[in-house]
Amino acid sequence: MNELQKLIDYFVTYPFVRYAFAVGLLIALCASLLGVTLVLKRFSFIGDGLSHVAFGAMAVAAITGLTNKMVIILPVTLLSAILLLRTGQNTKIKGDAAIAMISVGALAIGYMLMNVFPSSANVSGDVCSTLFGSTSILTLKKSDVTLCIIMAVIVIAAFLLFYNKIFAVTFDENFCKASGVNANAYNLIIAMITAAIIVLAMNLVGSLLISALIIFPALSAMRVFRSFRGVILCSAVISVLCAAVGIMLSILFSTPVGSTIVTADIAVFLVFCGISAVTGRIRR
Amino acid sequence: MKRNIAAVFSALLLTACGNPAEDSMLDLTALNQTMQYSQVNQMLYEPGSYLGQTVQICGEYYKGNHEPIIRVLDEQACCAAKITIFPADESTFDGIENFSEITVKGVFGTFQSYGVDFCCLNQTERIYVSKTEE
Repeated sequence: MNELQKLIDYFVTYPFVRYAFAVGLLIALCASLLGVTLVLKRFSFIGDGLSHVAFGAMAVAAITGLTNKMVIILPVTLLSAILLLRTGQNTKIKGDAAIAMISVGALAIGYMLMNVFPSSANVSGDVCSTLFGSTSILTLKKSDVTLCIIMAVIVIAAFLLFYNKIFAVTFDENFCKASGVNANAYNLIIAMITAAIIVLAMNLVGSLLISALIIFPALSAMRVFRSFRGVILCSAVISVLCAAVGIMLSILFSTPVGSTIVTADIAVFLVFCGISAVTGRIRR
Repeated sequence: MKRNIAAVFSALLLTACGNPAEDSMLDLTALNQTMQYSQVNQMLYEPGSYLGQTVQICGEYYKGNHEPIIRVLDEQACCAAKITIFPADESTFDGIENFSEITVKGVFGTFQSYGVDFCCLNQTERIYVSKTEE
């Protein structure tokens, strides 16, 4: 145990390890806050759709040679979030079909652009890193860390500021509308926060695994807790702990960061399912 | 609720604070492959923090038309970081086959080529080579 502690202490002296922890845990915290709302509103797959859009936007940003790719990725993902939300409401192409269409479309176009106009000699490496976040979180620049902290502050502030409204819109949108609350505006805020989290989380787990970061902590917490507040707090704790354990294990054993974090999330989900089954039987 | 989230957030922000490793000798060969790749990347992003530091690296040797380089790959071999290595004397890299695994020790610095800054190891000595030409 002492040896492991020494090894961890030694690794933490490296700045990229500290950057990875700061960014990883902040993203995990933000994702878990919104995850509960998205799962309850049956929007679990919006994260997946938007992450593919972000991948496509990243491919476009890469071929334009921009040093700061966020200039393209963030607005495109935000716009898609708004479009997906609007399409889900009142057009011919409804919710899941719209998400599937935009998601696979952006993924295909992104991958094609990366191959036709390669921005580096190692296209498969770039694709692997973007889709699965193989080492992205361990290769952050100081500017990435600063941007992540600013965006996390905005996301958490928005969540805390609109907590009561988000709660209301999550559980009964029709009642909200009837009581004069502008539910569409709050749905828009939820979509925009989701887009911001997706863009942030691409660095941590890659675009294919983002949904797991949003969904698993919320689902785990829902197995055991019954109140909205309880589920959100438990989900935040699970998400941050799993991210910390995942990053640490991937550093110690050289495993891909994204999949290690998601594996930790799955393990916690199974444990919480077990707890839920046992406590359910006792209650009965 | 709001206080709890604010407290967790503040604690996470503090995680990023602190100074880089300040030992004069940075032995990256003690790290695993992915950690070594990540640290080399960090040095390429922020060379100012490491200038003048003696660094020991293990990677793949390659000599094309220009100066020799050492390529450090991550565990999955999907990403690579490269550093130019300037030998301590002319015979340092004699007889080393391209793509051999090599361990070198040198002083971290930067140099300019065509107006662009690149990172390098100066006065590099070879510590270990897996394959040499016969």
